[in-house]
This record gives sequence, C-alpha cells and structure tokens, in this order.
Amino acid sequence: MKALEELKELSGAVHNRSVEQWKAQGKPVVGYICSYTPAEVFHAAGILPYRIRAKGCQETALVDTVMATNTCSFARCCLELALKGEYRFLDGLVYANTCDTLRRMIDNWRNKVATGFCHFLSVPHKADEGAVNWYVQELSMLAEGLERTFGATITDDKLNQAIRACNERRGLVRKLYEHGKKDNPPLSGSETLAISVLASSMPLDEFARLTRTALNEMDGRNGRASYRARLMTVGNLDDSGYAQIIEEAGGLVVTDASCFGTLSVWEPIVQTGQPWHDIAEFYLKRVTCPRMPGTEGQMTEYVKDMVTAFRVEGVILERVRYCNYWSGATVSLQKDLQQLGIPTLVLDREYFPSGVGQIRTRVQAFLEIVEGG
Amino acid sequence: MKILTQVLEAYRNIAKEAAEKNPKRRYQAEPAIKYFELLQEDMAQQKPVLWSWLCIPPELYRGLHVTAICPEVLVLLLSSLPGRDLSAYLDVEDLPPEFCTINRLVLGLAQSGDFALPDMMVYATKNPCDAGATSYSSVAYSYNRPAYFLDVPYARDIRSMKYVAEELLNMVSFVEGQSGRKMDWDKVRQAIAYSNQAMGYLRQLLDLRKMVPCPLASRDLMVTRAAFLSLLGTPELTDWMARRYQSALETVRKGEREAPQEERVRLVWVGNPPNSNPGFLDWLENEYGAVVVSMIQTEYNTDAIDNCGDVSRILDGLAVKALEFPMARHGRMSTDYNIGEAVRLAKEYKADAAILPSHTGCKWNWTSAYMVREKVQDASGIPVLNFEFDSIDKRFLSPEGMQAKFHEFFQIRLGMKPVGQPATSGR
Repeated sequence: MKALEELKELSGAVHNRSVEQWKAQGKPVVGYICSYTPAEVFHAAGILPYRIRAKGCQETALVDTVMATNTCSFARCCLELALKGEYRFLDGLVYANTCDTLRRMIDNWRNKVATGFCHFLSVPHKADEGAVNWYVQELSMLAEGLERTFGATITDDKLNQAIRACNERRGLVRKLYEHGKKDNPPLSGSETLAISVLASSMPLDEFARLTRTALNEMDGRNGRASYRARLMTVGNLDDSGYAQIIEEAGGLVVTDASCFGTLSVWEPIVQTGQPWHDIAEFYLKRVTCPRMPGTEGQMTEYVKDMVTAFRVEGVILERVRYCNYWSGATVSLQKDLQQLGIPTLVLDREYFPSGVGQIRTRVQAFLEIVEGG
Repeated sequence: MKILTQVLEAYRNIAKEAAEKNPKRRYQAEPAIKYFELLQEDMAQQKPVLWSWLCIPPELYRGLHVTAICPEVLVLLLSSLPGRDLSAYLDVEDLPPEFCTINRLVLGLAQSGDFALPDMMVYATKNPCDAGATSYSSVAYSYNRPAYFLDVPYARDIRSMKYVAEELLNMVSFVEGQSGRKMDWDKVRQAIAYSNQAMGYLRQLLDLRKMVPCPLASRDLMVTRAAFLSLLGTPELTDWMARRYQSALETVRKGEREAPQEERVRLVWVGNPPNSNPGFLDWLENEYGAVVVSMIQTEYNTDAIDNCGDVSRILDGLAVKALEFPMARHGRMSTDYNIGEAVRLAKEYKADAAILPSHTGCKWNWTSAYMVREKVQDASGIPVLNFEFDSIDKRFLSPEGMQAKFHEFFQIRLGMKPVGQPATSGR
C-alpha cells in the first residue's frame, strides 16, 4: 500500500512535499478559501491552486489577539497558521463572499500577513441565468488578474484541458469514496476525506498518478470488519480528528456530505465547448454549502441518496460552532431525515479537537440508538 | 396576528402615558403606532401577507397588492418594549444559542403561532448577513412558503447596481405572480416622492447633530431609525419627519437642547443600537453628559431618487438604496470600508470617542471588531470602546452590566467622573 501511505503522509500537514517540488520549479501557488472558487482557472494559468485549511492547528494563541473567540474556529485556525508563517509559500490569495466569517478573516489576514497577489471574487448566491453571467464576468476578471500578475495566458483550450484534468481528479476521489459502499471498506472515512482534501492542494498529475496506484493497491483488500454502525457525516469541513473519534467509538464513517469531500467531487463539469460558462454554471448549481439559499431540498435529496447508496444507518450533522449557515441548514435537514426514518445526531463542535470526552459520549449514545433500531 | 395587535396596543399605551407625563416625547411612539395601523388596514383589505427583509426598498411594495411586513422591524419594536419577557420566543428549538437573536426571535415567533406565517417571502442574500439569509431560507423551506431571494453582490459599483435592479424587477414579477395583481408604478413613483422628502429632512436633522453642543437627544437617533425602517415611502413618515425637523429647528433657534444635561463628551455609535434597552442612551446623557451624536444605522444614502423617468430608471435608483442601506453595506463589504465609515463619522460629527458595540450573534462584526477598533483609534486619534452585548436579549448582558462597561471606559480611558462628582472634562 505504498501509494496510499504516501497520499496519507502528504495529507498530514499544510505544507507538503509536492508543493515544495512545484515551487522549486519556479511555478506559483495561489491560496483560495472556499469550494466556490474554481480550481480550473488556476490550472489553466499554470498556477497551483491551494485550498486553505488549518490541518494540524492545535492552539489559537496568535489569532486570539486578532479575532474574537466567539467566531468560527475553522476561520480562526486558518488565520493562526497564516500568522505563524505556515502559508508563507503562497504567492497569492483569492477569497470570496462565501460566508461572513471567512470573508472578514481574510481582511485580517491581509492586514497582518503579506499576501502578494490578492483578488476578491463576488460569488452570486443563486444560479439563474443572470447569476451565471455575473459569475462568468467575475471569473474573467480573476483570469485577467492572474495573467497580469503571473504572466500566464488563459485560453479556452487550456481551460477545457483544465476542466478535463479536474474532472479526472474528481472521478478518482469518487472511486476512493465508492469503496465505502463495501461491507469492510479498505479505507476509513477519515482517511478518504483526508485524501479528498489533499486533492485540492497538490499538482493534478501527481495526485492522479498516486491515486490510480492506490486504487490498484486497494483492489480486493478488506478493511475493518468489526463496527457498530455505518455512519455518514454532514456539514463538517476537512477532518481535524473528529471522524477518528467517531470511529474509535465504534462507528464506521462510510461517506460524507462535506465541501472538502463528496460534495465537491461527486459530479463532473459537463463540457459544452463554452468553458467559462460551463465552470460558472457548475459551481453555482451544485450545492456544496448552505450559502446558497433555497437549496435545502437539494441537500436533503443528496444526503438521502448517499444514505441509500452507502447503506448508512445513522447521520451525524456536524456544526462547527458559530457557523450560521450550517446552524440554519441543520434545522431543516434534521427534520427531513427524521421524517425519512434516518437516525440523526447534531454535533456542535469546534474545528480543532475540543470537548473530545463529551463528543465520544454523545456518539456512543447515538450508536446505541442506531443499534437499537 | 396576535403579536401585532399586542405590540400596537403597547405602543398606544406608551403614547398615552407620554402625553400625560412627558408630552415632548409623545412623538417617539407615533411611527410604531402608524406602522401597525397601516398593516392592519392592508390586512383588512385582504392583501396577501409578505415578509420582507429590511433592506429591500419598501417603496416597491406600495405599488403591489400586499401587506408587507418586515419581521425584523417587528422584532426591534417588540424588544424595545419595557417589561416584556421574550425568552419563550428566543429559546427557539434546534438553533444554537450563539445564533443571532434577531433571527432567532423571528423563528421563535413563527414557531409559537403568535406571528402567522406569510403567504410569500422576499429576502436578500447577505445584505447584511448569513444568519438572516439562512433563517429565512429555512422558514421558507420548512413551512413551504413561496420565496424570492434577492441576490446582492459584494460591491456597490455600477455593475452591482444593474444586477440588483434586475433582481428587483424579477422580485416584482414574483410578487405579481403570487398576488395575482399587477404592479402600479405610479404608486411607486408617489412612494419615492415621499421617501425623497423624508430623506431630505433626515439629512438636515443629521446636520443639526453636527453642532457643538448637539441640540438633539441621543435616543432620537433610535426613534428615527425605527421610523425609517417601518414607514419609508409613506406620507406618514414625511409628515412625521417634517414635524421632527421643525421641532428641532425651533429648539436650535431658541438656543435650547433636547438632551437634559450639559454635553461633556460626544460619541459615535458604530454598530447595533441597544434595542432592548433604549433607555441606556438617556442614562449616558444623564450620568456622564455623553451624547450619541451619530449612529451608523441612520447613515442612509439620502440622495433623491429620480421618480419621473421610466421603470428602469426607478429600479436603478432603488437598487442603489438597497446596496447603500445602512448596516447592509457595512456588513456586506470589507472591513476597510467600515473603518473608513467610522473615521468619517468621528470627524464629521466631531466625536470624542467611538463606541463599537458588537451584537453577540453578528459574525461579520466580531470577525473584524479588533481590527476596526485598532485602526479607528489610530486613524481618528479617539478612544474606542468595543464590547459584547446582545441587541435583543437582555439576559446576555444586563443593563447594569452594560453600565459597568461604560463606567470603566469613561473613568479609565476618558478620565471622567459621573455628572455631579468632581470630574475632569471629557474634552
């Protein structure tokens, strides 16, 4: 399982070896903060897009002097790492009006840390024709900024190629997830999510090479045979240890609905020959976050389909504290799932592992309910 | 609509009491009373009920066959009433305690059955915040109400204005479709004429507040804000503002002041007002001679809208108002913009200190509050007080707790003592 081990190792920290190698070739890396930012545009410009997260952040000593503690700890941890210099390798930053906290967190980032190229994307909150046209213009302005700053040229051909390559990446991650449908999946839920996160922060070709090999290595192998229930996590970000807590309590996380996980990879971009339009439409129409109002039904359908496909016995709705979007969305999602007879647990948590004992107790109690039928 | 009747009755009692004890303050309850009376008139005409988010230009509803209720206005007026226990509504099922109480209260009222659900909903995405958008979306979905989500981009440039104008036109079509009645654009033109007049008076009243000492009371800002939120686009607001302006002008001509104490320190209030504790502003005046001369919530774009042109011109003008709505623009845009606004207000109103109250559920505010405090202090050279409170829920920080924070600020940062005690001047 060499390739799989390598993927897991690369996913273990913010700064990974493949990024270093990319930089060593004199090629730029630009950070971005949300799943509504299309990686395809960066790849078409020969730039490595790096989705910012806070892997490994265990304390918030620096950020607590900059940002109030009653705000989302994912945002705070990202800024903590930036203040520590862990994102020094970035040559630029692209951010968006995705959620209030991340948007304003970047204001703090820009105030305290030199960022180089910096661009704001105004992402619509709906997906009708007017919104798609608006987003096409926004992407065009982003492309102009990248071209001007990094001396790149983004043509329709390059963009179409980037779409194909990103679709391939999505397909590979999906194949990893598909293993979760088995009785004894060779990968745990936390491992699959970690690799999915890694996919948003390493060169496409290297990721594809390693993942293809890892998929071959996994063929015919079985994983954990003993567990209490098959679970799905919803609403979480990248895994910062919580899936492991759930798995240690006896649950088997077989899939997720996370913007770092299946929500970003499940479907490919449909190519019609108009790449800008294809990208804009894809990113606005798929639902990866409750930032898009009026999409509650879509999210319920998605979760319901995954529950069926992965034979999920219980759904854990994770809310990172102070996240308004997931707080609101969870209300209706929980009711929908309960009406469908799917056991649910709403778990309020911080981004970094905190209150682990309480969470373990709640998960254990939930597992008993699920086992009790 | 049990709660609407109750709140109307409560404001009538306040007006009655004021008429007996303090006639000068009788005007304060008038906008709330008129607002609920107009709603009752619309409902009596069987106009379908529409919930609308507060930063959507209300002038449009004047030409549509709807009873347009802004739940946030109800919440603000409800929480301002003395002696009301709102905990049963606030402790709404399912939502975490850190979720904005303004939106929680709307949800709680809806769940209780005391505030009937609407026939349709119109609300804005991120104008100003995520909590508003997600809670409305959740109500529309959970109770299966037809809804239009008005998308508002980040910036406030021409391109954004055109986008919002198109959104407003789509919104009109949505409401027409739901109500089965066509828009009467002449009524919208008339409503804009009233708004333009009211905005003119507002500009002049705000200019009077720049005088040193400020002739007008702090609480007047909160009352004016509530009046604009509830009555914009009506002749009732124009009439009320005309009377307010004449009264203020008279006060100035006589060389008098509406604030009861000598002005010792001028404050700009850059954040949510203390809705659940409006008497706090009186306390500031009485205890420290501290006058709130400006509030970010009344910093409307007061430019007149061209209401004589074609529909697209009207929509352009209203789109600008939606983008420029106070608090919406401050929440939606960058921290740098907010810093610039706070510094501008401090300078224009000759403030001695800036108050940066952070409503506990307000994420955009909290994420950048420390940066705003630091930069406003640096750029304006005046002390800034940043504190956490809840604009609606007094249980979070009691009036006494809030007073303690200001005692500390005035005494330690400004070297002041309460009025009547040996003191060093705030200036």
